[in-house]
Amino acid sequence: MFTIDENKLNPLVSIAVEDQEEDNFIDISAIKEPFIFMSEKGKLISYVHLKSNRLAHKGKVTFQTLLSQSIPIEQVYHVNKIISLPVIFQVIGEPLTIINDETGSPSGYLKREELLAELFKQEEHGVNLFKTLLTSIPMGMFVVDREKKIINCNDAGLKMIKSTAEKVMNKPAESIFDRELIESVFATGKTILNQVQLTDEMGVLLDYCPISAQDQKIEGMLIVVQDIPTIEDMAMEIEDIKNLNTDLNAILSTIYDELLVVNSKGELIRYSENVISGFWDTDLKDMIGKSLLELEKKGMFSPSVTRLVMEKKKKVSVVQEARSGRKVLAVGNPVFNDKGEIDRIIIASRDITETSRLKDELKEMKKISEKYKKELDTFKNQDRTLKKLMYRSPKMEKIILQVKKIAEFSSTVLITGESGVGKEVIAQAIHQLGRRSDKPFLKLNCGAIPENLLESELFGYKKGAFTGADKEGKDGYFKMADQGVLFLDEIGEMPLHLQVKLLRVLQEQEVIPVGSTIAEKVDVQIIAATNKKLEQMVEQGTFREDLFYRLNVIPLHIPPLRERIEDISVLAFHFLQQLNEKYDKSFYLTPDAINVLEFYSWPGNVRELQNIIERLVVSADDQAIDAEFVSQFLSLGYDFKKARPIITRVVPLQEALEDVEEQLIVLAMKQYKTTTKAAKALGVSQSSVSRKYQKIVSSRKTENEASLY
Amino acid sequence: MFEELITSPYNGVVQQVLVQESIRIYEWEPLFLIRDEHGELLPVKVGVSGEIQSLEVQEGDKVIPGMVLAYVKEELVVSACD
Ligand SMILES: Nc1ncnc2c1ncn2[C@@H]1O[C@H](COP(=O)(O)OP(=O)(O)OP(=O)(O)O)[C@@H](O)[C@H]1O
Ligand SMILES: [Mg+2]
Repeated sequence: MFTIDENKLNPLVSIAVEDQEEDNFIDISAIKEPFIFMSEKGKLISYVHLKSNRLAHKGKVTFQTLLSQSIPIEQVYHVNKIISLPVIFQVIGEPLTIINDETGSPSGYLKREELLAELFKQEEHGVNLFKTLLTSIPMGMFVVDREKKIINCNDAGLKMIKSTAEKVMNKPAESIFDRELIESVFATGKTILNQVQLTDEMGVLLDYCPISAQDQKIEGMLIVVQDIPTIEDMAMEIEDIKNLNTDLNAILSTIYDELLVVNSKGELIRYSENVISGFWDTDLKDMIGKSLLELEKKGMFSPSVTRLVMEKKKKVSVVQEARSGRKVLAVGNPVFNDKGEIDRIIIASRDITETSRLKDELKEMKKISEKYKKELDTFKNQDRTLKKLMYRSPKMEKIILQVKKIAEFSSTVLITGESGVGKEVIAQAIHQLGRRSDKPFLKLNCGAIPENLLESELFGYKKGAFTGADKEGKDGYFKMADQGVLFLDEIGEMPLHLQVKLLRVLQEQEVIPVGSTIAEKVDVQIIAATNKKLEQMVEQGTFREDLFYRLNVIPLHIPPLRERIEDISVLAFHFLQQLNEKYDKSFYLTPDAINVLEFYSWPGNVRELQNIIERLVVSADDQAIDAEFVSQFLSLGYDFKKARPIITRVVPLQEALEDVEEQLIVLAMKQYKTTTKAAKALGVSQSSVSRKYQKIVSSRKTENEASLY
Repeated sequence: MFEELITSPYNGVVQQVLVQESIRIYEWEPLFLIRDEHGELLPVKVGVSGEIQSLEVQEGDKVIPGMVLAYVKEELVVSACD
């Protein structure tokens, strides 16, 4: 606690506002006090500093001027005559302090220096006060004398510079603080603020303040130290960021070959360590600050991703091509400022010259290998057809004769016939035997290709509708079969809307690729095939009548195998021989086995025969494949009711009857195992079957025994 | 696995995006429809099968030849052909 001597107080000279007019003149030179006060209804409301720069040396001023210079009284501290320590810190911030009397009304004022002088004078408290002041401020203080030696300091300061009083006292200030700055303060008398001093031990902010005597001579200096522990962290962070930057650069350079930063005007402001060589005609160093847009105008490369990003105000990826032929994939990313305007554009680029070239090559190779594959296929086909076509029946002879004629004329052919009769073999024969045999034969299964693909498969795609190396589009079957034969298998499966288009091609001899408007001439012989009854489909409206007539120029009906029994044996021998060759075996069919084969109705036609022969070969233990063995593989029982046996050569009637009877009984017994069931199937009595079967078995036994000798 | 760029062959405006990110596409499937300066609607198709990795344009975007429309993770599996 401090007590203030009442006699030291300055009087409160005040002017009552209500007594004055604005333009009243007041002679302030007559007032001795440096501060006067304004009052209203007896209460102080503001004060005026008469010795301030604005008012000092002025004689008379208007009341208005005084008012304009007045400072509200609220800013001034009112204290009692007895004041406590913390209050001291408050009052020294203001040029004056008002002292209240016991009743709380102002009794006078003290200027700051007067108040401090009063306080220090109180001996027993004075030292304490100064010390308290020094130690309470969270700043380090070092007092330096005229010899530039440290003569005093506080604990806070020592802590901040991580030192002790012994190490510091009476030591030259420059051993701790910046020599140049100390010299400068002594030489100029000017304060130097906010100097960062960063060493391994400390991170501090320093103010160098001169202590000058009355005559402006520098007596010493005060070094004020502020602790900034965060500055160490910041320094560490900067180091981290530097490392991160290097890492990022390395990472980015593996993803991108080049990174550029461009400002809102399109000027280059930064570029990565790696740049794409051969893309830039100039050194990027010389491009700093220059507009990349200009380069596009000059034709160095095109298009400019910078320009595109600026136009679109969003990310743009584009393939750029340089004058040198280098191809670059450039991705431009805009960076926006607070106002939503483009601030920067980051451009990441990758050299794709090599990739593009490899891809083009790959596509070229694919094309070539596809071509070879096709050629190989046609060779295989040729080989197969001529060896394969087997027939002996007069019906097939007639058909082959027709085939030869058709081959000469390139007419449109419609082949009909049950499944597996050899429609495709005939179509190939037409191709092989004709003038188009060295041109392609292409087969398109209209039933096996999804409807949405069929059109493009047939007519192809428009040129130029594709990117990259596929700018050529894709040829359709018609185009690929040009000069050759196009075999439209399962024509009955063709959807109606494509039937119209097909009709057009047949009529005009030209195709319009999908997406195009330009027709292309083609010269293709059409062979269509179906196992459906097209006439019926026309009636039902599922096949266009006009197309049917267009296709049906030369109708070729291949009769089912059961209607050309003469072909069965040649085909059977042919297929068996193929398998023997393939597996290096020597199976053969006994005459009665052939009889059984000829007896069967072959609902699956030649294909079924081919399959059965293969199954026989695979399952046979004996080289000789006989009737008994064969009949196991044929579902004869079912067929007996359906098909009638056909006798193909003249034999004595009795002999034929006996032969048929024997075969029937053997088959029935094989299938039904008991004579009762066999009799039922044959429609005769059980006793009759039993008797006749006994006879057959015994006669076969004697035959076999006879053959043993 | 290759990353394939699908770029615009035309000058025009993206009329329709027919695919989405991370769906499978097949060779010669139309992926984008672009309306060119003459008002003609042109499909963008490529001989690439794979998965759409990212779409780089939206409907209504102006495009120029070479601008990347999408990235595709290409599968180099030989497609079945007879
Ligand atoms: N005269 C023949 N000479 C030799 N092999 C033939 C003969 N006729 C048909 N084939 C063979 O029979 C099988 C079926 O013939 P093809 O594929 O030509 O029948 P298809 O009438 O086209 O049958 P689908 O209607 O089921 O398509 C083929 O393996 C074929 O080689
Ligand atoms: Mg067929």
